[in-house]
Amino acid sequence: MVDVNRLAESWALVSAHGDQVPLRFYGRLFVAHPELRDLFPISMAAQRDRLVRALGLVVSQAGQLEAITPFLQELGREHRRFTATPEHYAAVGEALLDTIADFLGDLWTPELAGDWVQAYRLVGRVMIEAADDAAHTPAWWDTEVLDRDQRTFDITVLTVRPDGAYPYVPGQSMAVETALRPRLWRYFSPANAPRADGTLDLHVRRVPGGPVSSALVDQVDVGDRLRLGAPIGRDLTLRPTGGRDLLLIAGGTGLAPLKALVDQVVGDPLRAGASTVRLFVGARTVRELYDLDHLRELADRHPWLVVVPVVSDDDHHPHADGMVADIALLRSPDPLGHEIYVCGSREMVEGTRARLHAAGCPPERVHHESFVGLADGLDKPDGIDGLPGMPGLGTPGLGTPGLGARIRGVGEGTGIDGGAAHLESER
Amino acid sequence: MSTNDPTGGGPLPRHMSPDQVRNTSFARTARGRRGFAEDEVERFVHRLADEMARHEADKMRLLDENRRLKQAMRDWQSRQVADPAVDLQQRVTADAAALMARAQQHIDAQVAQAELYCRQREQEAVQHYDEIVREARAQAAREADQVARHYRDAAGADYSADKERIERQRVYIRAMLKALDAVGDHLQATRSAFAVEVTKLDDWLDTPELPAGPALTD
Repeated sequence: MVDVNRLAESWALVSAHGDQVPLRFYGRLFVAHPELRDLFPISMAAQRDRLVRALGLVVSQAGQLEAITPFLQELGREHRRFTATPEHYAAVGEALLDTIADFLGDLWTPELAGDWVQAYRLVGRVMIEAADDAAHTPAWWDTEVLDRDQRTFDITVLTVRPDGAYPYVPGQSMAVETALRPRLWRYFSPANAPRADGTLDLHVRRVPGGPVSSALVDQVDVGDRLRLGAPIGRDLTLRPTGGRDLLLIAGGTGLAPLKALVDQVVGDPLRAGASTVRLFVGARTVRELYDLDHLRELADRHPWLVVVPVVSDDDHHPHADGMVADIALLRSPDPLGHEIYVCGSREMVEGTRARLHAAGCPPERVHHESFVGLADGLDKPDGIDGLPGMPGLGTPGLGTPGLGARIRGVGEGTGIDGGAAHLESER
Repeated sequence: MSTNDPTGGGPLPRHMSPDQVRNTSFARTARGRRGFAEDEVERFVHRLADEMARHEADKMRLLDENRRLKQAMRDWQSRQVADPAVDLQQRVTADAAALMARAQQHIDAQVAQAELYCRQREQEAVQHYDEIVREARAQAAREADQVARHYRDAAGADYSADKERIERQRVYIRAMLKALDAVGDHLQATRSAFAVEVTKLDDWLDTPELPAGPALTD
């Protein structure tokens, strides 16, 4: 049995050394196994943050690891993308113990080593088993770019086709990598339901200073290849509504998964049980309503679909003015009776959830996901990424209640409805 | 004399135990010969035996301690022989790890700097664009107002609100187009400059002795 308190105390002491700990860890790992360096990106700052947060999470949950088992499992599956093998886990475990011993000095005892070994083995086993269970599916999909449509100078819609069947559910996301930025993955959500031709529409916003989003928005061209990870996440997939209407609230490129939900309803003869679908699309300026024409066309074709563009920071525009959440509440008859889906930047999602809560919307009917800088800490209601030193980026949906929205790639940029141009680093 | 006869019979035992001393009995002197007082001898013998016992105990203790010290010495010696190699290896690994960590920090700082630079340039570009558009709109609105005023002054009885509105819009749009054309020309010039730079880089990349490919895009 792991002595949870002892483990937590030792971690508290070690983590007080901050960035030095993961710096030493990766130093040790790569000295012992230089061939592993190539599995990681050039800049490791984000990776170090992730490692520390992950270790902190495991230590804090060490007494009841079952609580984070779904998370660990998905993380294990995600690590298949990086060609992680059980040998890698062993190397990582060694480097981890050596690093902790370095920082604890005389306080490092055989009993404490036993705690850490046990905790690490438990975590590693869950991850490896989950990866093995998924071994019959591809670890990644090679994908071709069929079309690029630059809608504004920082938003491009890429139409891509994975080689081979890519089974996903509208509302899910996947990690994407371009050869222009090797070993950097960002999460995106297809803006359409699965099509016969297998194509996916990705809405990409360039994050200022972001290496991946800038490559995807500006440089990736027709014929280029991308890699996609497995589809993950269940926070935004359509639940049975029990006859309730759908209220979809989008900020910026948070539109993508919600548009996929609309697409799903379009193809559903039962319309998912809803008689009306209301889509409120928020942007700071008119210019940033990048999909308006297509959405209008959809609304024209389907009388049960209502699309309302909302602009918060522009003058001279014909659309609804204000915060998208406020307009959504104002213009929906009986918002409390809707099944609500929210997607956008963290500010936008949190602001929207607060307004919905204040209006009395039952939380179990508000489904949300935000995309955030991966550098954010664990105290936010977002997931974490990467466990013991593996080149993991982005988090799978945590799945367990109370662990909140999942981190998605900042490659989607920051839906900046909400006023503040919250320009987060893409890490 | 008693069983352990120290004075008669065989050779003396090498070590007498305290008990042996106590149990020694002495022959009595022949009648009339001078001898020692019996009880004094008795007392002395017992004292002697006690001293001997004490010394025996001390000796055992010292022997024991000596044994322990010898063992400790041997242990320490054997440690000195095996550890230097292990210690050295551990020190080298820790040093190498620290060196690698410092190199990584250096790289991270450079990448962060590059990303910050990009971020700042892009933010500047966005702000600049917003300013340009705002200024263009304001200017276009001024020109439209001016034309509308002239029309009103000149129209007199023929004044039509619709005509004013159309004049206004026409001038506004023309002014906006002109402003955007100017911006477009500027951007085109910038674009050409970048295109030249890219060609230079491509030429450099194609030079045979340089490794091309992924290393340079990392």
